[in-house]
Amino acid sequence: MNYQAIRAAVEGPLLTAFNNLSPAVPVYFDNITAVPPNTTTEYVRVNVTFGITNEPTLTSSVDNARGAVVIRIFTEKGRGPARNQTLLTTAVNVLETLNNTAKTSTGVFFRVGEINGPTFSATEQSPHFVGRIDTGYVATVL
Amino acid sequence: MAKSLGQLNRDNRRKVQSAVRHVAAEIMNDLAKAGPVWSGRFANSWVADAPGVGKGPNGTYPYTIRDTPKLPDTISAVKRSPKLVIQNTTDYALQAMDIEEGYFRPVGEPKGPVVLEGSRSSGIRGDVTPGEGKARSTAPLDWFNNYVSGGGMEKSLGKGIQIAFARRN
Repeated sequence: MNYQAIRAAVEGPLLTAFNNLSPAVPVYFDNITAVPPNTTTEYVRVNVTFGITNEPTLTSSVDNARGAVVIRIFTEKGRGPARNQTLLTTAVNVLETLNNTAKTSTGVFFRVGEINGPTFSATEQSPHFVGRIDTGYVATVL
Repeated sequence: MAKSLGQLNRDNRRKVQSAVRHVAAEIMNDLAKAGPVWSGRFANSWVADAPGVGKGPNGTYPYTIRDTPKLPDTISAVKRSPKLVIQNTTDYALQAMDIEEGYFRPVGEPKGPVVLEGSRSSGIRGDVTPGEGKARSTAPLDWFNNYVSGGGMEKSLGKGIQIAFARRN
């Protein structure tokens, strides 16, 4: 099992998409320090979780895993949802592109399920307005 | 002794309703195990309600079938497809499930194992970056999504059905 390859299959395209925006939006993954608290800097937080590995009923291949991808967009609070939704669209486009990518003979075959959200929240303590989407995935290392 | 068809059907309906309740209890137990345990209140606040039938009793972890509402086994009730809705009754459930932001201040010491220590850079409960800082988390970030999407819920389902039919046969 190559967990890193599975993680890269979804993190890589998301990082590229947000880096290609003008201005680029920083993306933070698991175990990486996000921006200092109480700043209004916008950023994206991507969390990839792993649930069951090598579930025999998934496919005939035993090198597969499933889990969840949660994407949170942090934008400045009190400025409306437009910017947050624009960035959410970028994330959703990446997930849709992943689902439309043809299966190859090597690498990782990655498919996400339905996308939940976006849901939005903002608290008194936080300087950010947070948009959130999540989805389940099934990945097979080919 | 041979049973009438009507009686046999009722037995089958009872088995199915019992299996549903066992599945619900397994899901509540696995949610309690996967989720955060600081004071223990969140883990002890899962309930299964049956809309249109009745509210589930307020049980505590570990949950059993007695912590789920009895479902009617008449033909007309089964036709109405009664369902069980599992929810957490704490007012901070969405924060505990990492769905909404919150404000976190430690009260006492955690009753569950700490899985992350460091600094919290957002208002998300499990968004704790390892390193310096006093923030502590007793469940990984997005544990709930991982349970639902990562196959945990399906495992609970299978376990519940196995228990139900092992006990009835």
